[in-house]
Amino acid sequence: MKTPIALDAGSPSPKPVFAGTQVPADAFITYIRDGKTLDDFLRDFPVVDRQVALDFLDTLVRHTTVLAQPRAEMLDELYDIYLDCRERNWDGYGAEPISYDAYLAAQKFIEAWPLNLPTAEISAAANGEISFEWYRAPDKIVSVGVSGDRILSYASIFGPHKAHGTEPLTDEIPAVVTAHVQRLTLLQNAK
Amino acid sequence: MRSIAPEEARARFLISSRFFSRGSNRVKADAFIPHPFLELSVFRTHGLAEAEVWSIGDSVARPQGRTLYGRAEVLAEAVVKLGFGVVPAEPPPLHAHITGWPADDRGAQRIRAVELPAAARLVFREQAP
Repeated sequence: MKTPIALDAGSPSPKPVFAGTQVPADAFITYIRDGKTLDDFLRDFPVVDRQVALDFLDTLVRHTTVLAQPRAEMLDELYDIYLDCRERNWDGYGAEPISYDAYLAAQKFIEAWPLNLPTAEISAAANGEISFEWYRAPDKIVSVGVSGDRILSYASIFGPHKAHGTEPLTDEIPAVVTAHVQRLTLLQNAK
Repeated sequence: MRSIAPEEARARFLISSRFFSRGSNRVKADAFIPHPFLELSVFRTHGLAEAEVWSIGDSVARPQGRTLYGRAEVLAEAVVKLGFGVVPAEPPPLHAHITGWPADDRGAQRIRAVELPAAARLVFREQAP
């Protein structure tokens, strides 16, 4: 498959175009978003070859799969943890079991996690929470616990600055959590 | 009951593989969440030979039919510096508690647990799978 997309070198700020044309790639996305079809697009932009447009769709699917891979890995890890820790005293010190509700809540958390942010290491806590940990250094860490009652507990350390609290788990990750992970990422990038 | 010197080490034996990361060679904060209690069970290891330390760990893991993966070792001094208390809690011999955990506030308990790994050293029991 030839590369379906090229950069429009003739433009002062080059944008992705269908190869061999000056038709912007995002024009096709706009068509789909507006409820139009591939045929509508090809009729309006006859210079775009049908196969090139189909190759472009294949490329999008492949990129989406690559982007979603970390999420799939987190879901696999979560399931392993649930199987490992669903009995009381799984830690040898009297831990609460990881409940099916906690598993579902953590699944929801993973599915809502923005793909443009780093993924977490997952573990379990003795209080029945499933933990998500973003670790950069002993004094640069964000830790989130998800429980069956759909409450998130979070704790973050950025050098001398510390923060903690609880938030309800909804369809979106609480802004304070994404902000803390972004801050951790910025600290790492600034090193 | 004897007092605890600041330079004394305390071990939290790791019986779950969920509590450490082999990749980054570190103890995770979850290893220190004391639930269902408000104190964390540890053992004094100061002055003991390695074999003696692992023997104590075995006495925790074996009766439960569990694998002893390693231990998180913290100095009493570092723990106290973080605002916790360390008190002897025998029997069993050499047993102690790390106290000072907040009750009924999961966020507050989590931040305390997240602080501890910075003061901890992970020691693997090499024959563990």
